[in-house]
Amino acid sequence: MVKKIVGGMLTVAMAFSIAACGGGAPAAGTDSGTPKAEAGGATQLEFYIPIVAGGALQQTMGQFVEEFNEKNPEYHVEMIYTGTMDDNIVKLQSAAQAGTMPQFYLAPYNYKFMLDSLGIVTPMDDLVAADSDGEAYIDGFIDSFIRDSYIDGQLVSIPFARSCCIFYYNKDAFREVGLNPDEPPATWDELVEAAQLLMKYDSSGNMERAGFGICENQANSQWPWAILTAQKGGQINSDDGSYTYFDSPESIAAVEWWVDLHTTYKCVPDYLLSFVDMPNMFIEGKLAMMEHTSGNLTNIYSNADFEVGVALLPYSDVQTSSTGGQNFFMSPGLSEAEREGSWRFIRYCTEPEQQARWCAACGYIATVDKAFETDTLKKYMEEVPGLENALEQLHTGAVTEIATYECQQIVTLINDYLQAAISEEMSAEEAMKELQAKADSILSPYRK
Amino acid sequence: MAGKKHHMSEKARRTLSSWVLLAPAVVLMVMFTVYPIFNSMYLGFCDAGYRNSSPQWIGMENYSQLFADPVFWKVIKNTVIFILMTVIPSMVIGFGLALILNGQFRGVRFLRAAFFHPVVMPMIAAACVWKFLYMPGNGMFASLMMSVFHINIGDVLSSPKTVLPCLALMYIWKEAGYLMIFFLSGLQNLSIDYFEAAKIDGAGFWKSLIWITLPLMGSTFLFVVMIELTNSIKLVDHVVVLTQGRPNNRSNLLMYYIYQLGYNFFQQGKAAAVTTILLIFLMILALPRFLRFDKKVHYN
Repeated sequence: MVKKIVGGMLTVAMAFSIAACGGGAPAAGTDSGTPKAEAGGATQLEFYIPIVAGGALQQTMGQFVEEFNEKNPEYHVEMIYTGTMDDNIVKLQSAAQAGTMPQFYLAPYNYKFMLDSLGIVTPMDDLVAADSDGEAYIDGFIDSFIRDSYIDGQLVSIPFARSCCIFYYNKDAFREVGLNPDEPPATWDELVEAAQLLMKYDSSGNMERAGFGICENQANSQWPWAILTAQKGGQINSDDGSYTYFDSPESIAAVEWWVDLHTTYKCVPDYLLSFVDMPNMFIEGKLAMMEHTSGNLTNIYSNADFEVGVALLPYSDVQTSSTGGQNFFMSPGLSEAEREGSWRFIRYCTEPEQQARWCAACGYIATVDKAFETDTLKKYMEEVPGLENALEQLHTGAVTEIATYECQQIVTLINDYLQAAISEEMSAEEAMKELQAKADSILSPYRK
Repeated sequence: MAGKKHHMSEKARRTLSSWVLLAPAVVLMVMFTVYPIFNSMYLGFCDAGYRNSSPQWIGMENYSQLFADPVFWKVIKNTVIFILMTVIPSMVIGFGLALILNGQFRGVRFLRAAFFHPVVMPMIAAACVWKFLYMPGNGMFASLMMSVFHINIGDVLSSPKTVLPCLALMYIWKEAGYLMIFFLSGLQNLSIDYFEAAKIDGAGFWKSLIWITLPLMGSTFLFVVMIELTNSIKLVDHVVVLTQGRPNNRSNLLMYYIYQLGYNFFQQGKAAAVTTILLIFLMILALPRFLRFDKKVHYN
């Protein structure tokens, strides 16, 4: 009997502990941006950094912090690792709620509206104005990067760890099927033609190599979709982040073409391709061409045992790509000294030399033009010539990644509906209409 | 009279000392279990998220939004299907294993340990291993299907038809060994006398299984059903590692949905509302253990 009572209690305890771990966040007010104590003379500055590229990122950032602290004894910067990019957002949300925000932090540049609605974003225009060379500093950034740093004309973030979606192709595979390795496909039609040629099956009819790959899984498919839509001449959201155009003819056409890659042209893997699997598949020769982040340049050049080609993305009507990555944001409510120190550190990390080191070590694209004139990057570009193509893509055209309020929810919905369309649960048009209706109901409170 | 008074104060003293000794546990329980439960219930009636610095009372709004959202119903449906696909099979397999391993033969201890080992593996680790097994192309299942049947099964985790059964299969593998232990201990508590008597009367294996073993194991079965129902609902790790709800919420289960609402979408009011629904659901499941059900299945 005792055993049974214990069993019963166990069951109920389980029920309670489950209940306790869901949604029970404290109802405390969000007094965001509480300044940290200034100890031992030096102003303490904390910043959140998600580990995205593992070892190299940690090491290089560690060096920046060490150098900065040494050169600026009046400040003491401390980095706080917050895990993956998703973990970082969760931590920022809880810090905002608990009022324990770090002085500054790295976050996806396209989450600016979401961060703003959490009340953890502050304009930095006064700091630019206070610097003697402030204007020149801002002008030094690559336009495709700095363009996305504003809300209502005010500068709210500084481009730091940024990337761009580029076109990778396997030159050896091109030769194998009789394609010219120096003439990568420039348009969607050429891409499909080449991809179909590059498809390879084994004797029992199973796919050994797919012609082309585009990511469709793991909350990343909004990226290529924004690009495909822009290449059709459309746009997926308004500049103020409160409207989306998911059911526009351009958006629907982009999805239809994407679905056709699977159903009509049959030139992509016959399942939802995952973002993280793609680089390895490309290196192993299982994908002949792919659209992926420039963040994989170093990885691909050093691990592929065939000749790698990098080019501008094939397009339909407009030659464009999209940028990705993280910017520095500053918390509101800082003391004068904290603001100054944070600003100085952010500037230090975005000087041409530091950006060159960061680019060479971590594979991000340096965010300032002058970085490409440094010896560090000149040497790196000899090893990884594709970086030049990535830079060319940025200057030719690169639109903003999806940037709306409630961005995480919108991103999840986009992925859900794209998956529904690709796996033919719904037609492209049905899926996009329903997606737009959902987005409307989420974003309507933010519309002015 | 004086004696009785003395007795009362003795009882009072015992009550007091019990409470004093239990106080730390009670305080912890109130802080970390009781308070969060009631706070969750309260938040379920509030708009708590990006646009409010403090929760705003909105009545039943969260619930009506949830009930109007097809994703919510999809998640409920997935969860029910997942329960149906896991609870009975893992109990049947667990009981089968227990019956076999209840015998005495060479190597029985090794086999018991072997079937039990998935239980001690953390779910995250197990899910990572299974992710490799399910991988398209090089994964164990894909290469097996390819080499034996020459069928390309593609990515079973991204196909709407196969994703839930895949999650269920892994879960059954993990859970059957755990349930086996309960059944095994239940079986070993049964008196051998019944079986000997049955044997003398000419009952075969199946007869004694159906008419003696199963009825006597009633309370064990009830206990296992409760454990299994709550387990299959409360688990979230496998969803996080294997699919994160993909494709198009086909593998989104209740617990992951709560996490997604609360921490990805930052809609804490809605997350709390789903939590409350889950809590009520679990309370109903736990109820039979406290009511007459217990006595009905109890033979000894």
